[in-house]
Amino acid sequence: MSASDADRPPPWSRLRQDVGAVVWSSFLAACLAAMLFFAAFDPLTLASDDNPPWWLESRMTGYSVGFFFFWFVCAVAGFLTSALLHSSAGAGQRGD
Amino acid sequence: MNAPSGDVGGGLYAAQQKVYPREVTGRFRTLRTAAIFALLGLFYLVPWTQWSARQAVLFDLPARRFYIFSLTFFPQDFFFLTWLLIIAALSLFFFTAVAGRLWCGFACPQTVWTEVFVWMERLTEGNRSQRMKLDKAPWSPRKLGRKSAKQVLWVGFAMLTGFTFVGFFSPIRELMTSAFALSLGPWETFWILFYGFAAYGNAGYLREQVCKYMCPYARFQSAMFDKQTLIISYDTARGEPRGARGRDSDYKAKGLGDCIDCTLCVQVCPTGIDIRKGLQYECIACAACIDACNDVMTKMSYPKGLIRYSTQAALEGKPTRILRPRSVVYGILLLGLMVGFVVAVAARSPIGIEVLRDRNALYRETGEGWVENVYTVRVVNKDAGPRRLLLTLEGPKELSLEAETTELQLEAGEVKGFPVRIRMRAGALRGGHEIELEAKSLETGKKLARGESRFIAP
Repeated sequence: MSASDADRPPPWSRLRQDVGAVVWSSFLAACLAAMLFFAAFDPLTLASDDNPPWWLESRMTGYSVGFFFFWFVCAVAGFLTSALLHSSAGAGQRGD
Repeated sequence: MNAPSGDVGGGLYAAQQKVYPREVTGRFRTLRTAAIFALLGLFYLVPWTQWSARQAVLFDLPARRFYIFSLTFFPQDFFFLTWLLIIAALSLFFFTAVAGRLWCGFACPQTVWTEVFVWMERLTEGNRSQRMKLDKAPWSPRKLGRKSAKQVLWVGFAMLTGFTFVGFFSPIRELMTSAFALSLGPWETFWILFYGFAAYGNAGYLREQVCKYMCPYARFQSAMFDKQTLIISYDTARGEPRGARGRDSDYKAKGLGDCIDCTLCVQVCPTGIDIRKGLQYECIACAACIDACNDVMTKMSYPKGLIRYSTQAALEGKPTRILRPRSVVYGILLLGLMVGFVVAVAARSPIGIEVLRDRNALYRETGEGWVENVYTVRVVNKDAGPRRLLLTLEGPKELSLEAETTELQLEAGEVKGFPVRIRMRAGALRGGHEIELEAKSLETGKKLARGESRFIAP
């Protein structure tokens, strides 16, 4: 078996790179956000009355829903950022 | 193994070519195996360790408290966690500056779990060339058997990993009992599957692609490098021009360097790079190529170290200095933060107290000529043993503390919440006044903690 450049895996497509980078970096950001947020706020005290929505009925549900909420929001920001950078308005003039 | 050329820009689901890392033995392989056993051993065993009738390390999220051996941390101690994260980040800077990507090659969970998954793959599908042949071969009962055996091992190990991970957050012994009774809670089940799937996908399939395309550290680490940082490098001056030759031939007369171009260094590389092309950001510094090349050099009776740990300065023939401004500054900062952390944890007040004003009313006038404010007091005993406390009021002398009892008994780790009233004779004070509730030790009279609030008069 030779080991030339052809044996090396081809690079990921642009789309795949974007998805990979955004999903992973937003996951890390969501971990940080969830940790900071829930250190300061107890899910059980977030509801303003005695009839809390289902995601605030137990702490585990509160943490989990909160984490996915942060992940989603961070991913939205990441995808928008990558879309804006890749469809740069000045791309033609900059020569890329 | 050739990719259809020009298909680089394919879609999200374009088939990814696989790297088949070749097995290798040697000094660094042994070190990596030791690191894997140590780290995974800690991960899988620590949740089972007991400490005075409870799990030694438990991040009890439902109860909002962290147990780490004799210490109990509450959300109010969040500050320590941030401090710890800063220490972790600075350690990464320090070790990167001094020893390069030591983290990537030896300690990163991505590397460590990938090693175990590759080992399971080797166990079921054979060595590198057997695996390549098996993947190319048409489906047969034998291929199906081997692939299924691998999946059984992978899925089983991934589930164990997910289970252990959740066991850091939910008592693992009870978790196991409910797992066997099939009575796991919905979120426990979800997170076991989630983390198990993450381990399976990342270590089984994505592997080096996580390092190449997704890891932020891989892109930033070069900023912490300098010419004195330990890197894995191929000695171009000694190795080139590379070429095949007979074992006893006078290769120097033919104008060849020490590299026999056996490509073993490429075959063993988990990220599929050729170290002979120089330092690349894909290199996770696992040192597999060093082991492989040293083996070959020994067989050829050439000196070892054609590929070796070196520094850019050494390759340029300059002296290597471990002590330099960058490493010294990182080192001092790190040491200072670590000492500070230990001192701060040791000096942490064993009692925490919070005074929360009743939200519903500013004040209350009783029939007997008193004006009252109502508060909820929460007292936390973070100590490892029980504590007896006396609660006293500090504030304007017109105010008095009315509670069922001002003497408290709190067990280790106990939190007590109870209402108290502070009152004055109507008209004695006007407006808002700062007050403090102090918790003193009943035995020694020492002030342990205080909580601030306000008293509001008409």
